[in-house]
This record gives sequence, C-alpha cells and structure tokens, in this order.
Amino acid sequence: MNCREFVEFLMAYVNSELPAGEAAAFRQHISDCPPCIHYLDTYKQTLELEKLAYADEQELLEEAPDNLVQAILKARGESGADG
Amino acid sequence: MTTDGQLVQRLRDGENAAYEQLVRRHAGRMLAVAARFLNSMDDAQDAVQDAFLNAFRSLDEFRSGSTMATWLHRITVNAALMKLRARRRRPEESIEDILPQFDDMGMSARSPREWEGEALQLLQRRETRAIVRRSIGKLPLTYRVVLLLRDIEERDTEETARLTGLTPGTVKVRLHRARLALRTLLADQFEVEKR
Repeated sequence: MNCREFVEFLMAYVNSELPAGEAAAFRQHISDCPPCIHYLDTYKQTLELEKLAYADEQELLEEAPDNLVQAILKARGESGADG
Repeated sequence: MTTDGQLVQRLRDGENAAYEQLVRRHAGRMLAVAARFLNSMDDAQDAVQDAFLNAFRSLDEFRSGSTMATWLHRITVNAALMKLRARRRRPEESIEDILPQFDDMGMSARSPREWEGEALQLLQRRETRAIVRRSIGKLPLTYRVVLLLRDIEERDTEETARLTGLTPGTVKVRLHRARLALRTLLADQFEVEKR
C-alpha cells in the first residue's frame, strides 16, 4: 500500500469497515510511514474539530435580529396564516 | 417561563401573540443553523422565514413528545436545502486543489506534519471555532452540504442521499473528499512550522 491508497482507505478504516486483509495492509503502511501517522492523527482531529466547532453556536446568536422577527411576522400575515 | 407547548396551545386557540413569542425564542438559533448551509445572511434569513411559515402551516404535525427546538431545527435544514436547490444552477466549484496530492509513486507530495498546541484545546477559544467554521464554509457547496448533513446533523447516508438528490454511493465519496479537503484547510492553520 502506498500513501495514495492509504488516503483512499482512510474513511473506511476509521469507520472500521475495512476487510481484514486491507486493514492489515493499512496498519502495515502506517508502521512504515511517519507522514501517514500524522495524516491519520490530524484526520481524526479534523472530525472532532468539526463537531466541536458548532457546539456553542447557540450562544453566539441567541437573539434573532429584530428585522428578521418583523419579516417573519409580516410574512405570516401576508400568507393568511392568522386565520 | 411559558413552555413551548403552552405557547403552541395558545396559538391553536387563536392567540396570535403566542406566535411572536415563539419566533423570538427560536429564530436566532434557526438563523445560525441556516447560515451553515448558505453563504449569505440574506439567504439564511429567507430560509428561516420559509421555515416558520412551513412550521406553522403544519403545526398539527408537532407533537409534544418532541421538542419545538428539534422540530424547528429539522424544518430549517429542509428550508435551507430547498433554497440551495433553487439556486444550484451555477457550475460546481472544484475540490481538487484542496485534496491530498501524490507523486507518480503514490507517495505524499506534501509531507503531513503534526498540528500545533493541541488543536482540540485551542478549540476552547472562540476564534479557533470560528476558523473551523470558516474552513467548512470554504468547501465547495455540494461537499459542504454532505459534510454538514452527515457529520454535524448526524443524518445517515440514505437520508442525506434523499435530501440532496444524490445516490448513497456519491454521498459516501463526497463525504470522504470533503473531510480530506477540510483537513487540508485546517492543516494550513494548525500545522507546526517545519524546523
């Protein structure tokens, strides 16, 4: 396995979906290739970072801008939903 | 504080002031969700407006068993996707430039390095979270949407395929490439300097 194949198999490996033979070749490649160790490590960090990046977005935008609130109320009136 | 359930009941009883209370309570969060999918704040506001109209036209579908926030969240994602579909006539941006590069032997052309100072700890800082969100925002649209639906919204491959009109196989390929591309963008920010 070379670095290109390592990257192709990466998602399946992380999801534990690689067949045993390919998983063994994957691990063999990592043991011989320090850059791919870093790649695997930073790929896993990417997955964690993306989840955490949105974790507190709620507090960033707690209140809706007043123009949006007014537009929503107006749109409901125009759509006849009041009835 | 009046619960969402009580406000919904008042709304069903014809008390229109309850609608404004629900809007003020939930629209901020919904705007944040819509903005993940749409590049412009104007589009995100339109999506939230559509979402509220859709939600309160189908108020009978809201059951007290689920929370109003969860219900509105799903409706907002759908409204944002509808908005994207309506304007997806532009040529697709390329993702190739931010995918890993290899030489003729299949070896990494750019040697990956560690990321500095525990990127995850850095994430405690608001500015770092903003960097990650901005990087996700730089992904080509169809890749970003798949990444958001699969990794952030935690929809499964089949549902993501249904929502985007892609095949499940294409969803898997796009998720894989979107994650690789995001890693490249984050490496530009977090990789330690070569010594």
